[in-house]
Amino acid sequence: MSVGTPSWSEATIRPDAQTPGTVLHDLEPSLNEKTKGILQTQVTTTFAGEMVEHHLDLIAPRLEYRITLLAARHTKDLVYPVIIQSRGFLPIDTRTRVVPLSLSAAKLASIMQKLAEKGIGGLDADEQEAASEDEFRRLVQQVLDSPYTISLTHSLIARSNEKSGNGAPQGNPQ
Amino acid sequence: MLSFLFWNLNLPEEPAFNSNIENRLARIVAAENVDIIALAEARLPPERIQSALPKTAGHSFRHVESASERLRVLTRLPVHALVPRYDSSDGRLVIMGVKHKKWELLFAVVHLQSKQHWSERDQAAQATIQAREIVRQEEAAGHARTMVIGDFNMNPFESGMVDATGFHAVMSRRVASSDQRKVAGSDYRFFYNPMWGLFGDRTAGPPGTFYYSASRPGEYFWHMFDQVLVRPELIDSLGEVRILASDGTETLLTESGHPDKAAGSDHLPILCRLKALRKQVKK
Repeated sequence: MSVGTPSWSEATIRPDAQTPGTVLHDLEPSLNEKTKGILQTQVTTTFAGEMVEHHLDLIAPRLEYRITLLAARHTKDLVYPVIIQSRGFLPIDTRTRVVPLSLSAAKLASIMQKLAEKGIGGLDADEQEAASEDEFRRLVQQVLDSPYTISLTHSLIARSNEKSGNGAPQGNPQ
Repeated sequence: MLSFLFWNLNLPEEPAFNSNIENRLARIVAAENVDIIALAEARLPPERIQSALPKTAGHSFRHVESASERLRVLTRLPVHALVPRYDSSDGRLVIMGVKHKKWELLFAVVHLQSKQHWSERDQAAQATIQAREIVRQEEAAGHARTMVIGDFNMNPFESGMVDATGFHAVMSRRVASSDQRKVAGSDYRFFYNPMWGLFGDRTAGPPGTFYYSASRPGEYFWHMFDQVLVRPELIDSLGEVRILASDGTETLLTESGHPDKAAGSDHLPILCRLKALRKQVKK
């Protein structure tokens, strides 16, 4: 049986491929526009030895509060694979368990949490790896659409509105 | 005087009600007159911790909301005295603004990755990221009256603690008071790390905050993973810094003098106090 000449598939080669940092920077203006400045995003990049870490931060200017929604880290030269870390990847009960549980439920939750913390393939439960730009974009979208992010953005918007004494957006405060 | 307590409770799971740990915490808080409590690995609902804590002069402790489940901060200061400013995505760094009477400072609590899973190089890289975040918050706040407290999972002499790109925390007040130094063209601000002065037997208190013994050639036995750092602006305000060996009533140590995990935690708590200085008041 003859085997064809190997070739580069379109799925693996992208002439317009972008770095994780560029993909995240592209997200910056949209939340500001959608919330009329109540929430903003900012990407910060830190170089630590051979490692580069980008943070996608949510900023609530009226609350003077900032939270890193996701962190993406890769080596200086090889920007993929990139490890993405966010609470948006966690199952809800390992993220928000703060109410007292019965002892048996607490034990079960503890076992689940330990398993979740251990993760698979050397990654923590709140981490995922993307080998390409497409995978990275898909995982970032998964974080943005997660119940965690939805709860977080709604909370920050509501608290910002409460602080300004108005239920409606006030425009960009900065 | 403002008093801060940090304790890594190292609770693997939620303990039974009325366990020793919350009662021990409550005794420390009462004995040491603590204003702000920061806890790591406190797998207890905040309301359960709150209910165990003493009421002093009508003030009860409240949990300061934060997105972190790894770190809990409680205070008896008024509601708006402690306000969340930053939460990291992994819950290992929380930064709050403290504004109360004559104090206005940034209060950062950390719980960095364990040596079980991370090499010293990994920890140093993470320290760089955390330190950078603290600087961002200082820039946003417009001042650098910053205290960082927590379980760094590094000793004061390790790269992540001393490197200019890391926490840049030095043992000498005089060195730290020079404020910053230039390395390869960039300026890096110092932290002063008073924990250097608490190492070993020739000081008051236990030799470190954490004891570990393994059958390997190089072993320190005692470690100083739990530390408090202050920027030069707070050096003159820094009062006592202590590793606690007792909850005020009972010892936190075993008969061998190690942290008594069975009766408390495998980490010892640290306490520090800040005196108010006139120059801290914002005009």
